[in-house]
Amino acid sequence: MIFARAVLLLFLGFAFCLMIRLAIAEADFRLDPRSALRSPPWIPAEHLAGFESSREELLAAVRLNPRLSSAWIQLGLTAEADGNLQEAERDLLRASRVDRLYLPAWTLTNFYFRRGDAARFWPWAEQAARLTFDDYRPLLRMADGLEKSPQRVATRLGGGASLLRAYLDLLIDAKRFDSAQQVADLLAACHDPADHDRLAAFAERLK
Amino acid sequence: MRRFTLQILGALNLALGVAGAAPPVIGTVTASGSFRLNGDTVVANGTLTEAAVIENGPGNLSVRLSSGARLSLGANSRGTMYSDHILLERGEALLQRGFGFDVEALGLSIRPAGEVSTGRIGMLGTKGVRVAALTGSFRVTNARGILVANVAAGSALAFEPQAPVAASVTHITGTLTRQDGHYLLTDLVTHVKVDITGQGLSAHVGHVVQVIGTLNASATPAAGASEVIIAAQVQTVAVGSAGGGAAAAGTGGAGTGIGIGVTTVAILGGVAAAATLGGLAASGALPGQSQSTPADVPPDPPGAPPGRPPVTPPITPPKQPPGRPPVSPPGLSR
Repeated sequence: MIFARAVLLLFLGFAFCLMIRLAIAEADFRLDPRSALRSPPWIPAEHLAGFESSREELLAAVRLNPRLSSAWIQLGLTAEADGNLQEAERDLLRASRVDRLYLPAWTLTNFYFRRGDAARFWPWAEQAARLTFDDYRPLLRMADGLEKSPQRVATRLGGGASLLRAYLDLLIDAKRFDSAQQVADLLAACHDPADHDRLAAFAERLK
Repeated sequence: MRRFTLQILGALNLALGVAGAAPPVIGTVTASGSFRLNGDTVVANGTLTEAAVIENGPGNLSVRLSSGARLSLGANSRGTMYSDHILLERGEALLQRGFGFDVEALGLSIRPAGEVSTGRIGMLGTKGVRVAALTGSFRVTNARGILVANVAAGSALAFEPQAPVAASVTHITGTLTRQDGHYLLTDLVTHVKVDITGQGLSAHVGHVVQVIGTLNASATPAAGASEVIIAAQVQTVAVGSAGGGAAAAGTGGAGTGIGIGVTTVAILGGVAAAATLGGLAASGALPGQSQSTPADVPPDPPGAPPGRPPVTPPITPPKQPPGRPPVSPPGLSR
């Protein structure tokens, strides 16, 4: 019993010391990030990988936390801007391996779009479409630029009703009514009563 | 019938390459949060295509173009991106490695004069543009391609295009010199050298003069000069040359090194230009500034808070000689 209490006290003491040390490291970082780099074990890595961080800061960040996807993404984009495409792809794929959420997929979609690499573009575009929660239009613009058939665009991006609605609106805005017709057909096939007004308005516009 | 019409439309689209045709990619854009790209909400980063409209909120945007030019857009900026220029509609842009890349605003074209030029170009409300050269210099031309200013490294100028009716009115100040039969004057504010024609100029040679006149677009200027100005009025404001005048322009500059009250406003090519108070020190803050600010940039005055907003005096026309009607063109702010 005494031994258990001693261990508990020791553990609490250690936790307290660690908390104090982390608070000091945090304060150091806020005052002078560059000098704070000299004691990396105490710096939360994500603090090093902010927007517009230098390559050195980003590399320090991923050394501290190899699972920091935002730093890998920034490194990839920097490498791409410098013309190091292989390194850029490797860094962006690394980001996607440690982070299965939207941003790495979206970034890789853009990367392959810029390269004109349709074969690699579509799987990432589909994943980004699956993870998109608000605005499908930027993704649809890219996909539409690589594939002429709207039906194929919709199918390859998963063909969900919300995606089809965004695509239909995009094509109507662009006055591409023939393409919009094809997407409207797909949306109608979803048989969602919520789309009735949208489809009726489109049909009215075609008259 | 409708289906037939749609088929025709589709065939036309395909024939014209409209359907699904992606505009050329010109670069990437990254941000700390979300921003607007062609009216759509984009998170963190995106792809720039020709004529893409970018707009950001409270954060900054970083643009990397395929040409190598780098651009940071300040908070609440908006512009249309092209491979070789941006049409800035709102906010502020910090241009780095932008040789061959123009920032266009209010019909003015702002171009780095060299590969090392780094500068900040910002809108001043809806009528003015501020250009601050951090490293290297910038050339500012109007919509007709007329050089209206050379913004030297470490200086900042504010510009306000005038109404078209006043486009040829010119108002410049500098030391009049004579060279190969031509009268030349380098304006203290804009650093533009012009060829002056008119009566009685020889009496003013070697002195600091204010010249009011009109642009003669059809005449060929002397070597080294950018335009020919027909002087309607020449007034000596100081006897002797303005030794330190050029340095004064853009750094707050009323002084010329010989203790005269030389104007801080010039009008050339239909554009009014004025030195911004405090020069570069008056510029705001954008990412990357600390890395590119040269050592000769004037420091902030004591007590000035960091990142304070730019202080730009209103562009007001210079004083007219007594007994003369004012020649200030319409549209000039007062």
